[in-house]
Amino acid sequence: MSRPTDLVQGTLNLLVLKMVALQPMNGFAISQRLKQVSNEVLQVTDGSLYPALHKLEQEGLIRAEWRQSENNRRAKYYSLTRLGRRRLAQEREAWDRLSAAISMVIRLREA
Amino acid sequence: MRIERWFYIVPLRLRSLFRRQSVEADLDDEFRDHIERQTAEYVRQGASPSEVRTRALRAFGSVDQHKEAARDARGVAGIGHAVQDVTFAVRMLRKIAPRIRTLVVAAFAALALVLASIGVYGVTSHVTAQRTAEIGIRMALGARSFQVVSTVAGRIAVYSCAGLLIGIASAAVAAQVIRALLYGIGPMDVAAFAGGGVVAIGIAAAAAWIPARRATRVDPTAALRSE
Repeated sequence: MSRPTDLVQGTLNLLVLKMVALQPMNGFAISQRLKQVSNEVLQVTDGSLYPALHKLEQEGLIRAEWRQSENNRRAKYYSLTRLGRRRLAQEREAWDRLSAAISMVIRLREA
Repeated sequence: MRIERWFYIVPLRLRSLFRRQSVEADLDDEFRDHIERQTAEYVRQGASPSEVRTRALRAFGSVDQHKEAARDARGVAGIGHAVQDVTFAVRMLRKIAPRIRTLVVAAFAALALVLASIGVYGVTSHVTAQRTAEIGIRMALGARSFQVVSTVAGRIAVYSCAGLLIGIASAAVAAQVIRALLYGIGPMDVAAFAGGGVVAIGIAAAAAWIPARRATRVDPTAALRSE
């Protein structure tokens, strides 16, 4: 999301939660993975990804853990907490409702 | 669920606040790791080794800006601002003439003492007044008012001494902070500490004595009904 206005408010959190729900991931992997699975449509800038990650961590929805990277440096891995799992379910439900409603409206037949 | 939440949040917030340096180091490491992974990714895609590093850095954007945003997201700005405000006030006070500065500091000290006295009086007299029924029973059973008052006062004395010790310790720490604002007096001035202590103890004594005394004078049946 190079331009945050392009994104429906709050969906970044949903996407990030879903990504780390798959498996513990570092910030780079999250943005790469997101790009891959969305056929390059969803491109999160690092400038919006990291604040979102830190915010979610502060709220206790994801947990950060330091691991040794392949080249023996410290790497930060994020994973979902129990609280985060619950939030993910809520947000997904909200998103399903919203997107279904929007699809219904924009598919109305024009007279 | 609430408690579970605080279990995560509180240590994180405290860490952001007090271990600022290690939080900064963590941000550095996290961003460096990201850039290295990006570099490796470009190499894997077949970019020339001479340009991958620059490309990765450019792709990441301003590290300082990202750090600032991450710091904001950690949400300790409120407390951070309060600390900044106090530092600013102390710095401004240091700039003005010593005489006026002494007056300002003394005025704030007097205000603090008045507020503390009101607080001590309020809590102590409330605690004592709550024992009105108990005092009534003791009096009805034939206790003398001196005994009753000294029982009540003894309890208050323990609280007050504990409070006084904590107060003196905190004042000793705080005095070092405002050291630069003091004029013609050291940060560990015995008279000032003793004066403050005497006022606090005096207030507590009055606050314990007056309601206890009143309780011993009322009719025991009225005292029993007071709850």
